[in-house]
Amino acid sequence: MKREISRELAEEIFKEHSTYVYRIALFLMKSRELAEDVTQETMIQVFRKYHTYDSSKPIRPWIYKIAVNTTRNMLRKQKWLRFIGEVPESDHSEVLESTVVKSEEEKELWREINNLTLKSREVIILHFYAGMKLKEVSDILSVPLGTCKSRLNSALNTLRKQLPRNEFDFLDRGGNAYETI
Amino acid sequence: MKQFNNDLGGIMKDSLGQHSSDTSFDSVWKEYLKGKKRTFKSKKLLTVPLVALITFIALCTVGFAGYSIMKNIDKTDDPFVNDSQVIGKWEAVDLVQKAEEFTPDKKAWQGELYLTAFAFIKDGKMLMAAEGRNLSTTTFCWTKDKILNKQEKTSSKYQIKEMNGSTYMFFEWKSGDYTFKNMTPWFYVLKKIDSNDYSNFKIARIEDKTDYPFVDEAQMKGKWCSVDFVKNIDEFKPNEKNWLGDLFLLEMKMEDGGKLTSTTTAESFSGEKISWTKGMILNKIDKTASKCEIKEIDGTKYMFFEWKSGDYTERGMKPFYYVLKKAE
Repeated sequence: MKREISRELAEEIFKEHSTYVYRIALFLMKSRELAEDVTQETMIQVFRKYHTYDSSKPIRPWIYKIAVNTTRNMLRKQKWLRFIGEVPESDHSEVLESTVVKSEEEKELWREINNLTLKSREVIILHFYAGMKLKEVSDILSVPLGTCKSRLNSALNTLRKQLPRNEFDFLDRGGNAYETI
Repeated sequence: MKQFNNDLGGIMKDSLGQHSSDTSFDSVWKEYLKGKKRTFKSKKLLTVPLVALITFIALCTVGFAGYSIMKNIDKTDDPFVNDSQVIGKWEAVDLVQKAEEFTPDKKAWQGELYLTAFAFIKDGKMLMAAEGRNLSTTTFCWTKDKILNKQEKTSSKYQIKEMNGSTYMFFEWKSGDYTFKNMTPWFYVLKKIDSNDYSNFKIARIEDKTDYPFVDEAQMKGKWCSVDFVKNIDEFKPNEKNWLGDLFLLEMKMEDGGKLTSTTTAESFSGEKISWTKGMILNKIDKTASKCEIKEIDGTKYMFFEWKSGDYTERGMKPFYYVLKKAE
């Protein structure tokens, strides 16, 4: 039987997860406006599909999976809009850089992260920011664990090449990349 | 010594932590209740007619033959695997977007159901009833977990569930919406009626009078090539193809004395059992007499030939018309 989500439960889920969804979307979309769209669409999908959620499992990976898929769809739409000549949303990659006022090194890091491919950034945000283990990230992205590890490795290698050594020790450690299970 | 947090997670948290969404729960909940997505912004609104225009131009450029490239074609050559639980008759009770939406006591689909019933026969054969008619032959066949249509090139999953003491089948309905528009299939819900063997089921057939004498008509003679397939004669437009699929009948050659050669994608056939006479094509095998009407449109002669397939003889449906153009 279909389990309709109650307003109370929906509000609780929204309060707990919408900010993270927004920030993940902001990181991937590089646009505040599009990140708002992704957040709204993701939360609507979460409420609509709540009856398909397996409550024996943690809800966060399930929500993030919806968020990543919604982001991908939105990016596809953006590509299409660009293709047909509709004025694209302006690039907001500086949004994140500009808020990091701590150091030039961190600004440089953000610039390089923003230059990574979407697939690499998906792994980075889910693993380093959302704190998902690589096994969970591979489930969210619907790719094998090996692919996930390889994407992370490749992203870190790119950053190692672009950034001065020893400025960020996570580059040497590989972050928590192999804390997978 | 570094003056900043050199852990990537920490750096990201510091930066992203300064951003929060303006989206309120109330607005999302309202949209959820409305059951529709956020409305387009005015800027994006322009995109809709633009996309429609580009699609239209693309279709015109590629031509309607392009549909064969764009259409969904499923794998339908699965070997037969038995599933004894499907044998028997199943009657359609509902049509739902998702299987989990079905509740036995409340019909979700408000209109009439096109599919009326299926009978699953051993060895993979099937009978089908549509639009309230009786069971008759169908191009559907089955193997374990799948219902295949080799003509339409669709492979639909089926799933059987016990609910409130009855057995229901959820059958993925792959209509033209799936084949040509790539839309997600809905599910017919069929209730098990019996587990009888329908191998020897007697199908009611319509049989036309076919012993008409030959009457010559000069304008019918010659080679005719099919160009379209229409529900009604007046639907045909010379520059627009109405039928999106492949045409089964390719051409017909009409010669003196009523001799007829009919060529389909499957075979070329002639002989005493099929012939033509003024305004008609007679088929003594299927016992059909099909009307043939010749019309001149924009200076070109077209023949409208009533196609009396099993849909007519066994299912009692009104025949469609093949449109054939006179070959030079």
